[in-house]
Amino acid sequence: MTTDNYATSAQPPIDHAVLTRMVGDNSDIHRHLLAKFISLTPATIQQIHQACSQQQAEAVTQYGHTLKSSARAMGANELAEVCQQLEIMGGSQNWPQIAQLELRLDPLMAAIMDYVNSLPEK
Amino acid sequence: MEKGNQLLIVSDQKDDLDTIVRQVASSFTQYHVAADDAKGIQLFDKFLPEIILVCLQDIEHSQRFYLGLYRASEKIKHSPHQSILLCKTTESNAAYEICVRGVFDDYVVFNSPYDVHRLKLSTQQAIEKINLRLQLAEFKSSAASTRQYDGLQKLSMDDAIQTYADLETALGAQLDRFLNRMASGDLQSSASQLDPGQLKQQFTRFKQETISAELKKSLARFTPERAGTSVTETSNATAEKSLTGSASDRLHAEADRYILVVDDDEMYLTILQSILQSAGYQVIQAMSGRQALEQMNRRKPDLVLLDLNMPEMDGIEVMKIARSHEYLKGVPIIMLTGNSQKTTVLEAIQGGARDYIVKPAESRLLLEKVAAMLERKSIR
Repeated sequence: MTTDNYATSAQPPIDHAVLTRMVGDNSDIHRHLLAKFISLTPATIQQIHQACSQQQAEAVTQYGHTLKSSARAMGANELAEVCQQLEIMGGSQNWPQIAQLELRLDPLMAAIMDYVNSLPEK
Repeated sequence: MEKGNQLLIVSDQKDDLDTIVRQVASSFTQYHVAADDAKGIQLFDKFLPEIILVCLQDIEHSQRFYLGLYRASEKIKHSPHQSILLCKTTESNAAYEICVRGVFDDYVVFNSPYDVHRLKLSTQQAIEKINLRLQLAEFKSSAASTRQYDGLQKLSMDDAIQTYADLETALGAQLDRFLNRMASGDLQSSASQLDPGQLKQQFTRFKQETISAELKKSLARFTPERAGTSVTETSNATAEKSLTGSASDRLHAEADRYILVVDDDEMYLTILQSILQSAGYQVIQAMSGRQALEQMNRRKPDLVLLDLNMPEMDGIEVMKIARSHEYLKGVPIIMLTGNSQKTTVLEAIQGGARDYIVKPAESRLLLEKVAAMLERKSIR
Protein backbone atom coordinates (compact mmCIF):
# COMPACT_ATOMS: atom_id res chain seq x y z
CA MET A 1 0.00 0.00 0.00
CA THR A 2 1.32 3.48 -0.86
CA THR A 3 1.08 6.57 1.25
CA ASP A 4 -1.58 7.93 -1.12
CA ASN A 5 -3.85 5.07 -0.19
CA TYR A 6 -3.79 6.21 3.38
CA ALA A 7 -4.31 9.85 2.58
CA THR A 8 -7.39 9.09 0.51
CA SER A 9 -8.71 6.19 2.58
CA ALA A 10 -12.48 6.11 2.88
CA GLN A 11 -12.22 5.19 6.54
CA PRO A 12 -11.85 8.16 8.89
CA PRO A 13 -8.41 8.06 10.50
CA ILE A 14 -9.95 8.08 13.97
CA ASP A 15 -12.31 5.33 15.04
CA HIS A 16 -14.67 7.02 17.49
CA ALA A 17 -16.04 3.71 18.69
CA VAL A 18 -12.57 2.86 20.00
CA LEU A 19 -12.23 6.28 21.57
CA THR A 20 -15.57 5.83 23.30
CA ARG A 21 -14.55 2.46 24.69
CA MET A 22 -11.30 3.96 25.88
CA VAL A 23 -12.46 7.15 27.56
CA GLY A 24 -16.26 7.11 27.62
CA ASP A 25 -18.77 8.93 25.44
CA ASN A 26 -18.23 12.53 26.47
CA SER A 27 -17.63 14.42 23.21
CA ASP A 28 -15.89 17.27 25.04
CA ILE A 29 -13.34 14.82 26.39
CA HIS A 30 -12.92 13.34 22.89
CA ARG A 31 -12.20 16.78 21.46
CA HIS A 32 -9.81 17.65 24.27
CA LEU A 33 -7.86 14.42 23.90
CA LEU A 34 -7.71 14.54 20.11
CA ALA A 35 -6.43 18.12 20.27
CA LYS A 36 -3.76 16.99 22.71
CA PHE A 37 -2.93 14.03 20.49
CA ILE A 38 -2.32 16.16 17.39
CA SER A 39 -0.27 18.62 19.42
CA LEU A 40 2.03 15.98 20.96
CA THR A 41 2.37 13.31 18.27
CA PRO A 42 4.36 15.25 15.63
CA ALA A 43 7.25 15.58 18.11
CA THR A 44 7.28 11.81 18.70
CA ILE A 45 7.20 11.18 14.95
CA GLN A 46 10.11 13.56 14.59
CA GLN A 47 12.01 11.53 17.18
CA ILE A 48 11.28 8.36 15.21
CA HIS A 49 12.61 10.01 12.03
CA GLN A 50 15.74 11.03 13.87
CA ALA A 51 16.24 7.56 15.34
CA CYS A 52 15.77 6.03 11.87
CA SER A 53 18.23 8.40 10.22
CA GLN A 54 20.83 7.57 12.88
CA GLN A 55 19.93 3.87 12.83
CA GLN A 56 19.27 3.82 16.59
CA ALA A 57 17.23 0.64 16.79
CA GLU A 58 16.52 0.87 20.49
CA ALA A 59 15.11 4.38 20.12
CA VAL A 60 12.96 3.28 17.17
CA THR A 61 11.54 0.51 19.35
CA GLN A 62 10.99 2.84 22.32
CA TYR A 63 9.25 5.64 20.38
CA GLY A 64 7.31 3.15 18.28
CA HIS A 65 6.09 1.52 21.47
CA THR A 66 5.12 4.83 23.07
CA LEU A 67 3.22 6.12 20.07
CA LYS A 68 1.53 2.77 19.53
CA SER A 69 -0.21 2.95 22.92
CA SER A 70 -1.46 6.50 22.45
CA ALA A 71 -2.57 5.89 18.88
CA ARG A 72 -4.48 2.78 19.93
CA ALA A 73 -6.20 4.61 22.74
CA MET A 74 -7.24 7.42 20.37
CA GLY A 75 -8.66 5.03 17.79
CA ALA A 76 -5.91 5.96 15.30
CA ASN A 77 -5.75 2.33 14.26
CA GLU A 78 -3.60 2.59 11.14
CA LEU A 79 -1.02 4.72 12.88
CA ALA A 80 -1.01 2.28 15.79
CA GLU A 81 -0.41 -0.61 13.41
CA VAL A 82 2.55 1.15 11.77
CA CYS A 83 4.00 1.93 15.20
CA GLN A 84 3.66 -1.66 16.31
CA GLN A 85 5.53 -2.79 13.19
CA LEU A 86 8.22 -0.20 13.90
CA GLU A 87 8.55 -1.50 17.44
CA ILE A 88 8.98 -5.07 16.16
CA MET A 89 11.31 -4.14 13.31
CA GLY A 90 13.38 -1.98 15.65
CA GLY A 91 13.93 -5.07 17.77
CA SER A 92 15.20 -7.04 14.80
CA GLN A 93 16.99 -4.04 13.27
CA ASN A 94 15.32 -4.61 9.93
CA TRP A 95 16.26 -1.26 8.41
CA PRO A 96 14.69 -1.70 4.95
CA GLN A 97 11.33 -2.48 6.57
CA ILE A 98 11.78 0.34 9.07
CA ALA A 99 12.40 2.77 6.19
CA GLN A 100 9.17 1.65 4.49
CA LEU A 101 7.18 2.06 7.67
CA GLU A 102 8.75 5.45 8.39
CA LEU A 103 7.46 6.74 5.07
CA ARG A 104 3.89 6.08 6.18
CA LEU A 105 4.04 8.11 9.37
CA ASP A 106 3.76 11.67 8.03
CA PRO A 107 0.83 11.11 5.62
CA LEU A 108 -1.06 9.25 8.32
CA MET A 109 -0.46 12.02 10.82
CA ALA A 110 -1.47 14.66 8.27
CA ALA A 111 -4.74 12.83 7.64
CA ILE A 112 -5.41 12.65 11.38
CA MET A 113 -4.72 16.36 11.82
CA ASP A 114 -7.00 17.28 8.93
CA TYR A 115 -9.70 15.08 10.35
CA VAL A 116 -9.46 16.45 13.89
CA ASN A 117 -9.33 20.04 12.67
CA SER A 118 -12.45 19.44 10.58
CA LEU A 119 -14.47 18.17 13.55
CA PRO A 120 -17.33 20.56 14.34
CA GLU A 121 -16.86 22.85 17.28
CA LYS A 122 -19.27 22.37 20.11
CA MET B 1 -41.78 11.83 61.63
CA GLU B 2 -39.32 14.74 61.87
CA LYS B 3 -40.47 18.12 60.68
CA GLY B 4 -38.65 19.78 57.84
CA ASN B 5 -37.80 16.78 55.63
CA GLN B 6 -37.94 17.59 51.95
CA LEU B 7 -38.34 15.24 49.02
CA LEU B 8 -37.17 15.59 45.44
CA ILE B 9 -38.75 13.33 42.83
CA VAL B 10 -37.06 13.11 39.46
CA SER B 11 -39.18 11.37 36.85
CA ASP B 12 -39.85 11.86 33.17
CA GLN B 13 -42.99 9.70 33.24
CA LYS B 14 -46.09 11.64 34.26
CA ASP B 15 -48.07 8.58 35.38
CA ASP B 16 -45.20 7.38 37.56
CA LEU B 17 -44.87 10.82 39.03
CA ASP B 18 -48.52 10.90 40.05
CA THR B 19 -48.24 7.47 41.64
CA ILE B 20 -45.11 8.38 43.59
CA VAL B 21 -46.64 11.60 44.87
CA ARG B 22 -49.76 9.73 45.95
CA GLN B 23 -47.75 7.11 47.83
CA VAL B 24 -45.10 9.12 49.65
CA ALA B 25 -45.59 12.88 49.43
CA SER B 26 -47.75 13.03 52.56
CA SER B 27 -44.72 11.98 54.64
CA PHE B 28 -42.85 15.19 53.76
CA THR B 29 -43.13 18.84 54.69
CA GLN B 30 -42.47 19.76 51.09
CA TYR B 31 -41.89 17.87 47.89
CA HIS B 32 -40.53 19.01 44.55
CA VAL B 33 -40.79 17.34 41.18
CA ALA B 34 -38.44 17.54 38.23
CA ALA B 35 -39.14 16.08 34.82
CA ASP B 36 -35.59 16.36 33.51
CA ASP B 37 -31.95 16.41 34.63
CA ALA B 38 -31.42 20.15 34.54
CA LYS B 39 -34.50 20.86 36.61
CA GLY B 40 -33.50 18.12 39.06
CA ILE B 41 -30.10 19.71 39.63
CA GLN B 42 -31.63 23.17 39.96
CA LEU B 43 -34.20 21.99 42.52
CA PHE B 44 -31.62 20.05 44.49
CA ASP B 45 -29.37 23.08 44.88
CA LYS B 46 -32.32 25.26 45.81
CA PHE B 47 -34.05 23.05 48.39
CA LEU B 48 -31.33 20.58 49.48
CA PRO B 49 -33.80 17.73 49.94
CA GLU B 50 -33.00 14.94 52.37
CA ILE B 51 -34.50 12.27 50.11
CA ILE B 52 -34.21 11.91 46.32
CA LEU B 53 -36.35 9.45 44.39
CA VAL B 54 -35.14 8.88 40.85
CA CYS B 55 -37.44 7.20 38.36
CA LEU B 56 -36.36 7.96 34.81
CA GLN B 57 -37.19 5.87 31.74
CA ASP B 58 -34.62 3.21 32.69
CA ILE B 59 -32.01 2.73 35.40
CA GLU B 60 -29.19 3.71 33.07
CA HIS B 61 -30.76 7.16 32.68
CA SER B 62 -31.39 7.31 36.43
CA GLN B 63 -27.79 6.46 37.21
CA ARG B 64 -26.51 8.97 34.68
CA PHE B 65 -28.73 11.66 36.18
CA TYR B 66 -27.56 11.03 39.74
CA LEU B 67 -23.86 10.91 38.83
CA GLY B 68 -24.42 14.05 36.74
CA LEU B 69 -26.04 15.70 39.75
CA TYR B 70 -22.89 14.90 41.72
CA ARG B 71 -20.74 16.54 39.09
CA ALA B 72 -22.96 19.57 38.49
CA SER B 73 -24.21 20.44 41.94
CA GLU B 74 -22.04 22.65 44.07
CA LYS B 75 -23.86 21.72 47.24
CA ILE B 76 -24.53 18.01 47.08
CA LYS B 77 -21.26 16.91 48.69
CA HIS B 78 -22.08 18.92 51.78
CA SER B 79 -25.75 18.10 51.87
CA PRO B 80 -26.55 14.78 53.60
CA HIS B 81 -29.29 12.92 51.78
CA GLN B 82 -30.52 9.45 50.90
CA SER B 83 -31.06 8.39 47.31
CA ILE B 84 -33.56 5.79 46.16
CA LEU B 85 -33.61 4.32 42.67
CA LEU B 86 -36.97 3.20 41.33
CA CYS B 87 -36.77 0.42 38.77
CA LYS B 88 -38.79 -2.09 36.82
CA THR B 89 -39.00 -5.75 37.89
CA THR B 90 -36.70 -6.72 35.02
CA GLU B 91 -34.10 -4.22 36.20
CA SER B 92 -33.88 -5.35 39.81
CA ASN B 93 -30.59 -7.26 39.41
CA ALA B 94 -28.89 -4.29 37.79
CA ALA B 95 -30.42 -1.94 40.38
CA TYR B 96 -29.02 -4.12 43.14
CA GLU B 97 -25.55 -3.96 41.56
CA ILE B 98 -25.76 -0.17 41.30
CA CYS B 99 -26.62 0.07 44.99
CA VAL B 100 -23.85 -2.34 45.96
CA ARG B 101 -21.43 -0.14 44.02
CA GLY B 102 -22.60 2.70 46.23
CA VAL B 103 -24.23 4.92 43.63
CA PHE B 104 -27.70 4.84 45.20
CA ASP B 105 -28.54 4.05 48.82
CA ASP B 106 -31.50 1.84 48.01
CA TYR B 107 -33.74 0.66 45.21
CA VAL B 108 -37.40 -0.19 44.98
CA VAL B 109 -39.14 -2.20 42.30
CA PHE B 110 -41.72 0.38 41.42
CA ASN B 111 -45.41 -0.39 41.19
CA SER B 112 -45.01 -4.04 41.98
CA PRO B 113 -48.50 -5.49 42.48
CA TYR B 114 -46.99 -7.88 45.05
CA ASP B 115 -45.45 -5.22 47.25
CA VAL B 116 -47.45 -2.01 47.09
CA HIS B 117 -46.11 -0.62 50.37
CA ARG B 118 -42.42 -1.04 49.57
CA LEU B 119 -41.83 2.52 48.33
CA LYS B 120 -43.48 4.09 51.34
CA LEU B 121 -41.55 1.87 53.75
CA SER B 122 -38.21 2.49 52.03
CA THR B 123 -38.84 6.23 52.06
CA GLN B 124 -39.67 6.23 55.76
CA GLN B 125 -36.57 4.20 56.56
CA ALA B 126 -34.51 6.65 54.52
CA ILE B 127 -35.93 9.55 56.51
CA GLU B 128 -35.02 7.82 59.76
CA LYS B 129 -31.50 7.19 58.53
CA ILE B 130 -30.98 10.76 57.42
CA ASN B 131 -32.31 12.20 60.65
CA LEU B 132 -29.96 9.96 62.57
CA ARG B 133 -27.07 11.13 60.44
CA LEU B 134 -27.98 14.76 60.98
CA GLN B 135 -28.10 14.25 64.74
CA LEU B 136 -24.74 12.53 64.62
CA ALA B 137 -23.29 15.35 62.53
CA GLU B 138 -24.54 17.90 65.07
CA PHE B 139 -22.94 15.92 67.85
CA LYS B 140 -19.65 15.70 65.96
CA SER B 141 -19.74 19.38 65.13
CA SER B 142 -20.01 20.27 68.82
CA ALA B 143 -16.82 18.29 69.36
CA ALA B 144 -15.00 20.08 66.54
CA SER B 145 -13.33 22.63 68.80
CA THR B 146 -11.85 19.81 70.84
CA ARG B 147 -10.48 18.24 67.70
CA GLN B 148 -8.74 21.51 66.82
CA TYR B 149 -6.28 20.63 69.55
CA ASP B 150 -5.53 17.41 67.66
CA GLY B 151 -3.45 19.69 65.48
CA LEU B 152 -0.91 19.76 68.27
CA GLN B 153 -0.31 16.05 67.80
CA LYS B 154 0.97 16.71 64.32
CA LEU B 155 3.68 19.02 65.57
CA SER B 156 7.24 17.85 65.79
CA MET B 157 8.90 17.92 69.19
CA ASP B 158 10.83 21.09 68.27
CA ASP B 159 7.62 22.82 67.22
CA ALA B 160 5.96 21.76 70.46
CA ILE B 161 8.83 23.09 72.60
CA GLN B 162 8.81 26.35 70.68
CA THR B 163 5.04 26.66 71.10
CA TYR B 164 5.33 26.11 74.83
CA ALA B 165 8.13 28.68 75.08
CA ASP B 166 6.01 31.20 73.14
CA LEU B 167 3.11 30.56 75.47
CA GLU B 168 5.28 31.12 78.53
CA THR B 169 6.66 34.37 77.12
CA ALA B 170 3.21 35.62 76.17
CA LEU B 171 1.76 34.66 79.51
CA GLY B 172 4.66 36.26 81.34
CA ALA B 173 4.18 39.51 79.44
CA GLN B 174 0.47 39.53 80.15
CA LEU B 175 1.11 38.85 83.83
CA ASP B 176 3.58 41.69 84.00
CA ARG B 177 1.00 44.04 82.49
CA PHE B 178 -1.62 42.76 84.95
CA LEU B 179 0.68 43.28 87.92
CA ASN B 180 1.72 46.72 86.66
CA ARG B 181 -1.92 47.72 86.40
CA MET B 182 -2.49 46.53 89.96
CA ALA B 183 0.60 48.37 91.16
CA SER B 184 -0.44 51.59 89.43
CA GLY B 185 -3.88 51.38 90.99
CA ASP B 186 -5.79 50.61 87.78
CA LEU B 187 -7.38 47.58 89.35
CA GLN B 188 -7.52 49.04 92.79
CA SER B 189 -11.20 49.74 92.88
CA SER B 190 -12.11 46.15 92.13
CA ALA B 191 -9.09 44.45 93.65
CA SER B 192 -9.48 46.21 96.96
CA GLN B 193 -12.91 44.70 97.33
CA LEU B 194 -11.79 41.18 96.44
CA ASP B 195 -10.81 38.66 99.00
CA PRO B 196 -7.80 36.42 98.14
CA GLY B 197 -10.12 33.63 96.84
CA GLN B 198 -11.88 35.96 94.43
CA LEU B 199 -8.58 37.42 93.30
CA LYS B 200 -7.33 33.91 92.57
CA GLN B 201 -10.46 33.16 90.53
CA GLN B 202 -10.06 36.34 88.50
CA PHE B 203 -6.40 35.57 87.93
CA THR B 204 -7.18 31.98 86.84
CA ARG B 205 -9.81 33.20 84.36
CA PHE B 206 -7.37 35.74 82.99
CA LYS B 207 -4.69 33.05 82.62
CA GLN B 208 -7.06 30.70 80.79
CA GLU B 209 -8.15 33.41 78.35
CA THR B 210 -4.57 34.33 77.60
CA ILE B 211 -3.49 30.75 77.08
CA SER B 212 -6.49 30.03 74.86
CA ALA B 213 -5.79 33.07 72.65
CA GLU B 214 -2.09 32.23 72.34
CA LEU B 215 -2.78 28.59 71.65
CA LYS B 216 -5.11 29.51 68.79
CA LYS B 217 -2.46 31.82 67.34
CA SER B 218 0.18 29.08 67.64
CA LEU B 219 -2.00 26.45 65.98
CA ALA B 220 -2.69 28.76 63.06
CA ARG B 221 1.05 28.79 62.28
CA PHE B 222 1.26 25.08 61.57
CA THR B 223 0.44 23.47 58.27
CA PRO B 224 -2.24 20.85 58.62
CA GLU B 225 -1.85 17.40 57.10
CA ARG B 226 -3.23 18.48 53.72
CA ALA B 227 -1.95 21.68 52.22
CA GLY B 228 -4.65 24.29 51.75
CA THR B 229 -6.95 22.86 54.38
CA SER B 230 -7.38 24.51 57.73
CA VAL B 231 -7.35 22.44 60.89
CA THR B 232 -11.05 23.11 61.36
CA GLU B 233 -11.82 22.01 57.81
CA THR B 234 -9.81 18.85 58.32
CA SER B 235 -11.76 18.12 61.46
CA ASN B 236 -15.06 18.67 59.70
CA ALA B 237 -14.01 16.47 56.81
CA THR B 238 -13.05 13.75 59.28
CA ALA B 239 -16.40 14.14 60.98
CA GLU B 240 -18.23 13.77 57.68
CA LYS B 241 -16.17 10.77 56.66
CA SER B 242 -16.98 9.05 59.88
CA LEU B 243 -20.67 9.23 59.03
CA THR B 244 -20.50 6.08 57.02
CA GLY B 245 -23.25 4.00 55.53
CA SER B 246 -24.64 6.30 52.86
CA ALA B 247 -24.06 6.12 49.11
CA SER B 248 -23.36 9.85 49.09
CA ASP B 249 -20.61 9.27 51.64
CA ARG B 250 -19.08 6.64 49.42
CA LEU B 251 -19.29 8.91 46.37
CA HIS B 252 -17.82 11.71 48.43
CA ALA B 253 -15.05 9.44 49.65
CA GLU B 254 -14.38 8.36 46.07
CA ALA B 255 -13.97 11.99 45.08
CA ASP B 256 -11.35 12.32 47.82
CA ARG B 257 -9.29 9.38 46.56
CA TYR B 258 -5.91 10.47 45.36
CA ILE B 259 -4.32 8.52 42.53
CA LEU B 260 -0.82 8.95 41.18
CA VAL B 261 -0.42 8.03 37.51
CA VAL B 262 3.08 7.46 36.19
CA ASP B 263 3.98 7.14 32.51
CA ASP B 264 6.65 8.69 30.33
CA ASP B 265 4.07 9.12 27.57
CA GLU B 266 2.35 12.47 28.13
CA MET B 267 -0.52 11.53 25.87
CA TYR B 268 -1.33 8.39 27.78
CA LEU B 269 -1.06 10.29 31.05
CA THR B 270 -3.64 12.76 29.75
CA ILE B 271 -5.94 9.88 28.79
CA LEU B 272 -5.63 8.28 32.21
CA GLN B 273 -6.23 11.59 33.91
CA SER B 274 -9.38 12.23 31.86
CA ILE B 275 -10.81 8.81 32.65
CA LEU B 276 -10.06 8.98 36.37
CA GLN B 277 -11.12 12.58 36.84
CA SER B 278 -14.41 12.00 35.06
CA ALA B 279 -15.02 9.25 37.66
CA GLY B 280 -14.38 11.76 40.43
CA TYR B 281 -10.86 10.84 41.51
CA GLN B 282 -8.11 13.32 42.26
CA VAL B 283 -5.19 12.67 39.93
CA ILE B 284 -1.54 13.69 40.01
CA GLN B 285 0.82 12.88 37.16
CA ALA B 286 4.47 11.92 37.06
CA MET B 287 6.44 11.41 33.85
CA SER B 288 9.38 9.46 35.28
CA GLY B 289 10.22 7.10 38.09
CA ARG B 290 12.09 9.82 39.94
CA GLN B 291 9.15 12.23 39.70
CA ALA B 292 6.86 9.46 40.90
CA LEU B 293 8.91 8.87 44.06
CA GLU B 294 9.03 12.61 44.71
CA GLN B 295 5.26 12.86 44.38
CA MET B 296 4.76 9.85 46.66
CA ASN B 297 6.99 11.38 49.32
CA ARG B 298 5.19 14.70 49.05
CA ARG B 299 1.78 13.15 49.51
CA LYS B 300 1.03 9.49 50.01
CA PRO B 301 -1.37 8.38 47.27
CA ASP B 302 -4.26 5.97 47.79
CA LEU B 303 -3.23 4.14 44.65
CA VAL B 304 -0.49 4.28 42.02
CA LEU B 305 -0.89 3.39 38.35
CA LEU B 306 2.67 2.78 37.26
CA ASP B 307 4.02 2.21 33.77
CA LEU B 308 6.39 -0.73 33.59
CA ASN B 309 8.39 0.39 30.61
CA MET B 310 10.05 3.75 31.28
CA PRO B 311 13.56 4.98 30.45
CA GLU B 312 16.14 5.55 33.22
CA MET B 313 14.10 4.09 36.08
CA ASP B 314 11.50 1.52 35.08
CA GLY B 315 8.32 0.65 36.96
CA ILE B 316 9.82 -2.36 38.74
CA GLU B 317 12.63 -0.26 40.15
CA VAL B 318 10.22 2.45 41.32
CA MET B 319 8.09 -0.20 42.96
CA LYS B 320 11.08 -1.77 44.76
CA ILE B 321 12.13 1.60 46.16
CA ALA B 322 8.57 2.38 47.26
CA ARG B 323 8.23 -1.05 48.88
CA SER B 324 11.45 -0.53 50.85
CA HIS B 325 10.08 2.58 52.59
CA GLU B 326 7.92 2.02 55.63
CA TYR B 327 5.81 5.06 54.71
CA LEU B 328 5.04 3.87 51.19
CA LYS B 329 5.14 0.10 51.31
CA GLY B 330 1.39 -0.29 51.88
CA VAL B 331 0.40 1.84 48.89
CA PRO B 332 -1.22 -0.42 46.29
CA ILE B 333 0.34 -0.31 42.85
CA ILE B 334 -1.28 -1.37 39.58
CA MET B 335 1.30 -1.91 36.88
CA LEU B 336 0.60 -0.62 33.38
CA THR B 337 2.17 -2.83 30.76
CA GLY B 338 2.34 -2.66 26.99
CA ASN B 339 1.66 -6.37 26.63
CA SER B 340 0.13 -9.27 28.52
CA GLN B 341 3.03 -11.70 28.11
CA LYS B 342 3.29 -14.04 31.06
CA THR B 343 6.87 -13.05 31.88
CA THR B 344 5.99 -9.36 31.97
CA VAL B 345 2.97 -9.93 34.18
CA LEU B 346 4.92 -12.24 36.49
CA GLU B 347 7.71 -9.72 36.75
CA ALA B 348 5.22 -7.02 37.78
CA ILE B 349 3.43 -9.19 40.32
CA GLN B 350 6.65 -10.58 41.79
CA GLY B 351 7.96 -7.03 42.07
CA GLY B 352 5.04 -6.18 44.35
CA ALA B 353 2.27 -4.97 42.03
CA ARG B 354 -1.20 -5.89 43.26
CA ASP B 355 -2.61 -6.02 39.73
CA TYR B 356 -1.76 -5.12 36.16
CA ILE B 357 -3.46 -3.44 33.23
CA VAL B 358 -2.50 -3.89 29.61
CA LYS B 359 -2.28 -0.54 27.84
CA PRO B 360 -4.31 0.98 26.41
CA ALA B 361 -7.08 -0.14 28.73
CA GLU B 362 -10.74 0.57 28.14
CA SER B 363 -12.16 3.02 30.66
CA ARG B 364 -14.65 0.51 32.08
CA LEU B 365 -11.95 -2.04 32.85
CA LEU B 366 -9.60 0.60 34.22
CA LEU B 367 -12.24 2.06 36.54
CA GLU B 368 -13.32 -1.39 37.69
CA LYS B 369 -9.76 -2.32 38.62
CA VAL B 370 -9.15 1.01 40.33
CA ALA B 371 -12.41 0.79 42.31
CA ALA B 372 -11.72 -2.81 43.31
CA MET B 373 -8.21 -1.97 44.48
CA LEU B 374 -9.36 1.02 46.51
CA GLU B 375 -12.17 -1.03 48.00
CA ARG B 376 -9.70 -3.75 49.02
CA LYS B 377 -7.42 -1.12 50.51
CA SER B 378 -10.20 0.41 52.59
CA ILE B 379 -11.28 -3.03 53.86
CA ARG B 380 -7.70 -3.69 55.02
